[in-house]
Amino acid sequence: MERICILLDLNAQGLDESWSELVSDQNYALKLNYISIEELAPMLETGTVVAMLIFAEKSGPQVANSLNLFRKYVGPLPGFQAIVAEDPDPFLISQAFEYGVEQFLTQVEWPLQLVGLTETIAALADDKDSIEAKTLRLNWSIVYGDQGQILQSKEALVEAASYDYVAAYAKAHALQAVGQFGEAIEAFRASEKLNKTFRPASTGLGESLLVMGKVDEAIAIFEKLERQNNKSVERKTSLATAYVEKGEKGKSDEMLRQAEDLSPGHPRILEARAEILLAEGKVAEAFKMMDDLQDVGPSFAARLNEMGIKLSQQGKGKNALALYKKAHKIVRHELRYKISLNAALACYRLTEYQVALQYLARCEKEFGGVYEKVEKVRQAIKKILAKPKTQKVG
Amino acid sequence: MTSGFAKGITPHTVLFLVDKPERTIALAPLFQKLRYKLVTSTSLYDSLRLIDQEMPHLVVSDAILSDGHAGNLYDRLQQQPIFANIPILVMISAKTKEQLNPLKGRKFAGFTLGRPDPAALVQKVKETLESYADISPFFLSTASGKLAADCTLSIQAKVVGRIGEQMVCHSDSEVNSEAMLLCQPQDKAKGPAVLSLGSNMRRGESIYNLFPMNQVKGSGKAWIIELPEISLEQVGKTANRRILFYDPKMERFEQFKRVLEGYDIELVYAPNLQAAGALMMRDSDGSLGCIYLDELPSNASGIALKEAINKISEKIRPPVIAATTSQTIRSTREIQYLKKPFGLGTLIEMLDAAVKSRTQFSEASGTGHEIQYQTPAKLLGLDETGGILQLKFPVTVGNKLKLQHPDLARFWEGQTEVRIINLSRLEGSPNIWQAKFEAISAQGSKSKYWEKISRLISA
Repeated sequence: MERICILLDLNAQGLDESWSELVSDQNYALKLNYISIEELAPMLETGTVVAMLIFAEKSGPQVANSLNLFRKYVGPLPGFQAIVAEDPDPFLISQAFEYGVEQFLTQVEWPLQLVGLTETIAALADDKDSIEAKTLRLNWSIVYGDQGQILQSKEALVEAASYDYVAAYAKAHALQAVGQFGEAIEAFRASEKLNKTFRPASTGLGESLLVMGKVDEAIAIFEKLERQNNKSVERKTSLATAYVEKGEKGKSDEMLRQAEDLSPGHPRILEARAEILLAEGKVAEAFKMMDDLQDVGPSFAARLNEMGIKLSQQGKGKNALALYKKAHKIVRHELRYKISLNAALACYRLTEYQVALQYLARCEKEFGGVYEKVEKVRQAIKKILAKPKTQKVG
Repeated sequence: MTSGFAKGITPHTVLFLVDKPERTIALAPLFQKLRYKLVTSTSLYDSLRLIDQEMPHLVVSDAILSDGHAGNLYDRLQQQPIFANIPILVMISAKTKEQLNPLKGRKFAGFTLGRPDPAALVQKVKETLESYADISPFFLSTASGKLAADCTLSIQAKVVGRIGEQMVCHSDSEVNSEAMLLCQPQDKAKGPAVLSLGSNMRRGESIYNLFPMNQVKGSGKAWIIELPEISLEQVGKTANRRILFYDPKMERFEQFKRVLEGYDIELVYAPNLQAAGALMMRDSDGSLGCIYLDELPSNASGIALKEAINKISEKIRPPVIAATTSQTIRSTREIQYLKKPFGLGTLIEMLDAAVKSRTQFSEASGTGHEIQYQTPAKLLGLDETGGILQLKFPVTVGNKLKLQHPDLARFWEGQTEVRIINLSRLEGSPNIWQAKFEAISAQGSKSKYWEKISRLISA
């Protein structure tokens, strides 16, 4: 398979015209491809990209967005990314560090420096036993939401996770994706122990703690990270939702205001606002806002599931189903199977067994293999359906 | 790996054969700047003795000598195969028959006419040596000697423990912050690890190498993160992370201050290098954890600051880190250089190591794990003092290392220790370094050593 290293110019200084000339004298182990910021997400979605070179001198939402997208589609591999800058401002190096990225190349020497970097990346990506290759595979399973494959890929990293912080982080990410937040917390802690300055591990730990309702602990982690870098929209929105849980509305509003200042209209801000509305019981408003959301993360997804279960248990099965339908459209691929399962359970309570079976089939497909819980519910339904219908006498 | 040589990698020895030794006095400082060794002789007889002893890489000779002429010198060298490749540069004072006739029919490396000024003569010497690939004329490549190219450089060390997030090892050598070293424990039950971003601290005669544990990679990390904390006794008030920070741009300083305070690092601003120097001199109570210079210009103020740093006693001098865009500058005991642009983790780890290097501890509390730092290398070839290695990472000049190589172990009869005397980055290849080394077993008569090695290679 062709492996690509993308060149992304955020300086807008004409790299699109000069890059091919600059790299013409060298041989690279990866195919180089210049792209614009608009082309970044579609390019990453192809699954052919393994490395990224960002040309930027200053921090900003575009840098964060690019690093975020790389982590989402390629994986948590800081060594596969680098920033080209002559004199990067301290906020840029801090922003890159938020994603564990520490490699900087110079404006003059990058074509030469990239030779060694692409050689290293290609060798690691091609070696199926390397931690990096396993992480790439695992991440791809998460992107596709294939639960069976996620578990299998995660297993391949278990040994390395005891001594390598990237492996431990990837394992935690996988556990998050399959909804095992308690185990994810332990794996994030292990990654943090192996590299105390690897910020993505601390961020993941905070997120998982928040999902598990350990709000105080999550806030302590987020606040520490915020002191070190107060330019992350994602963290401000996480803090905003956590503060609401604690009833600290003022602090929450302030965080959202700061996030809006940093990156107006950022999708995570809208997600946080919808999550806060749900937490405040303003369901109708939250529902309206949810129409504009996509790719929402585990914290919001967990809240939607929790709310659906509550509605279903209160006998408001139809409301629960409406919620799940909406939730299924907006959550990330890897989180959808849980919503399908909950929708099946809601139908079961409503005695809509045939619809429940359809939801179970969808859940299984999304899970990517045999799912024990699905099988249990299916057997229960089959048992009911097998019973002869009672007839009224007289 | 490339087959070219880094410019200036070999420190040359140049023999001057002149009528009066005073003629080379003005040349001495210029040669010293180039790190060439200058040897002077005033007679053919004496020069032959010196050639045997010094094995010069170039002979610069007057055309007419007190006891012969440059032609005689050429013929004598041609008679001994070991010296036949030494280039000879002839200084002709005037185009007369007497001067020119003895030179006929012989292949000299070049000529000068008249009395060239010292700078021009040094330039001519430099050009002549460069035209001979800037290596020793005795240099024998691994390919032509049919020697193995792959080898390993290693340093013996002992793990002491950890100070915070720094792994501390005791060794005989300083490590280079740019190098990645394989840490191979003697205890096979412990996994290997890759160490990087190393720094050094000296306690009397002892050298301690510090490696940030966050940067350690490989299965060895499992035992390294469990290393016991060393009981510390702080020197002065350096427990805090208070750092004197010089950046010519105030705005940049403010930005760094905001970023680093989140990591509990307090910055004290020095608006210029003079102020930095003055603050450093006043820090006799050790309240500064270290000094960070985001720029160290090569102008007068930079030189003055370096002098100020050198004047402070090593016992109380805070560690100095200077960021630089130079690709060739090397860290010294006084100043550790950080290559720009750098990542935040690297900066924090370096500042942390610098602060930690001011601590004192008792090694008795150490773990005692025996380890070896290893780095792979390619042997490019051998010469009369040692040879040239090619590496992917730099090594520290002055280091004594073990060179594990199948042929050399035999040639050197097990005495595999070498000393790195020069290091250069290969031009156009930022990730390739070349190191000139001296073999410990080559100490003594160069010609005897080289005759023996040549014999063993050709056997």
